[in-house]
Amino acid sequence: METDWTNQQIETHTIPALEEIAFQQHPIRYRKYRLVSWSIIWAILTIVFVVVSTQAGLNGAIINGSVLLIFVELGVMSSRIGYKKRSYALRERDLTYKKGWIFYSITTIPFNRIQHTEVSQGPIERKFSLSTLKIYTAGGSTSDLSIPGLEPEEAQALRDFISKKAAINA
Amino acid sequence: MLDQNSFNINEPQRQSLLGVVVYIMRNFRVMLTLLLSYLAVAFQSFSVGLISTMILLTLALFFVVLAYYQYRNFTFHIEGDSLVIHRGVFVKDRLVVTVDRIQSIQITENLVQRVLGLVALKVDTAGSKGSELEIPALQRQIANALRDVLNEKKAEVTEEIEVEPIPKEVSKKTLVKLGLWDLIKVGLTENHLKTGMVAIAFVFGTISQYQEFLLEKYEAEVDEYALMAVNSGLKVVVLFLILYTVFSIGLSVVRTFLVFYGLKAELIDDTVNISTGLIKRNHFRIPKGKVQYIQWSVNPLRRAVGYESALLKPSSSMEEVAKKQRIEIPALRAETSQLLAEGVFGEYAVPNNELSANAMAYGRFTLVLSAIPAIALSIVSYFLVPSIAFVPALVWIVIGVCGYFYGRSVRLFYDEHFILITRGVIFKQRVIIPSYKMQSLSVQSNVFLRRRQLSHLKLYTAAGSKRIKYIDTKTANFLLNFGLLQVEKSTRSWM
Repeated sequence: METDWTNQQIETHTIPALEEIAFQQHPIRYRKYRLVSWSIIWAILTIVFVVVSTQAGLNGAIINGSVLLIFVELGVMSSRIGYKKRSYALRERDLTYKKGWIFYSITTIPFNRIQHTEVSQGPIERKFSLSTLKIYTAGGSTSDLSIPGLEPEEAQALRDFISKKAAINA
Repeated sequence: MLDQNSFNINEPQRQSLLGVVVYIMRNFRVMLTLLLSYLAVAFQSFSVGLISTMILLTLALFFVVLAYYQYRNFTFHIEGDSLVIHRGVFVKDRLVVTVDRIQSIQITENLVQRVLGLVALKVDTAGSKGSELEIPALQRQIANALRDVLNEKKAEVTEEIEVEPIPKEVSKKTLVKLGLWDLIKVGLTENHLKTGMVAIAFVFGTISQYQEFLLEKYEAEVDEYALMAVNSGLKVVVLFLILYTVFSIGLSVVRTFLVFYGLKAELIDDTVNISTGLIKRNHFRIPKGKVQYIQWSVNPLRRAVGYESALLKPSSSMEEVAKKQRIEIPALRAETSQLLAEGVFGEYAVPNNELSANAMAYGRFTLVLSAIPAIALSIVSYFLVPSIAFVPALVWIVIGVCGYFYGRSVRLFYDEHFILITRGVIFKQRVIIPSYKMQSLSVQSNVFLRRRQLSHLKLYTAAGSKRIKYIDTKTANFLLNFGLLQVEKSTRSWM
């Protein structure tokens, strides 16, 4: 069944379209950061693998090993492709974040609905000198937006800009 | 307003002395669990029984004394612009709420409080979870007076900041007033399947908790009945079904009476007022602006008597309250529903742009989802009874068709002011969200959907999110842009 709408009037309005604006990608070292944080998880998985396969014998080791390899491969792919798919865009009145490779989403938060903002930096992020910008709305935790892998200065600048805008609208 | 001789709200005040009873009853709830475990062990032997009885009595005494101290140490008063509460026996708390933080004030009473002629005053504040203050044992006049004082102070403070005169005109519109006959109709048209399931889950939960004790006591009887049940086969199944039906319907009616007895829903000025309940009577007062969306639902039974029920969803600072006490109006006629929507949201008319979801995608999704159990069942039945191996496959197709028809029922209406989502074939549901109340919007898709140019649109509000699945990606993006425009254009306060 095809979708159709019955009212032509709205279409003639000029509605600012997200599709027409340029999206900004994360700095390239964010990809490396993701690889590193993934490899920490792999390291744990590998330890589990070694422990399990010493007990399960050769056949078990082969099966476990191949499962692990698939995961590793997926992880590498996801950090490569996932990196490319992540981008954000700032407009006068809202912030948009696109992400996802297998599951794709584009989320926009208008500034006049923002409750508060936060810039954070984890231990691995600090090594790569990256920051995460978090934006909270009243829409519950699922609607909160978190943009990782930003230049610290940019995260700060974004936060300042957004909170100023949010304060005007509040 | 307040009796100045005996009651000065600026000094720390105790609650009504009868409050001790309220506290005892509260502590008794804790005791109940203890009592059950006591019953479980007490009859094992005389000495165990004696010791556990003594422990139980000591604990009971302790709880009574505790209740007295809970009453004694609880004081409340108003200090400047704040409500101050002292409480606690072992750990002493001092709670301070400034009036401008108060979101809503409710007066409630449960059975104990009603018998004692007392009410509880609950103050809900914006902010983190569990930020609700309660004064559990007040005389009604004092509770009313305190509420008025707090509301007045709040009005003063907010007036100072916003310099906005508060309209004094009193407009009052009664939406629903449930009579006895209405209650019976509502009770009979509840979703009995659900009530029965919940009851069964509860019964089994309780039984498994005391399984050891019960089994030991009644093992012989249970075995006997089980044997009888196996022998009489079909008869028992039929009997069980009849019992289940009668039980569920009875329970639905009882529950309806408990929750909705004397329900009255009114629109007074800028608030929706609902008072309801037989034993525990609740009075809700929700400012209209706090309602984020209204959700109507109806089952075939209730539709037959011409009713539908509505759920008001206020913003999340009140979500705690909303979850605990359902803000539901169970018996609305079509015209009262319209009145409710108009009353809460101002003007309301069905938005004139209509959109439907991709029903084929729904069908496909249900087919894929149910494929694995269907195939497994087919294989199993092929080996067991080859002649009926086609049945699971048939059921599978029927499920897919059902998915398709459900998908066909999903409709989205939108315009500058409202978003209306309707869905459901048998259990119909419709949701009205004022466009400007959305918090954020999201378009979601995945590799399987992208091939077919389909996406989901997710609308976040301050009272939860709503998703419209399987719409054309271009349309979803258009709606994202359109919705954002409405939110960003709006200067109205959304909560």
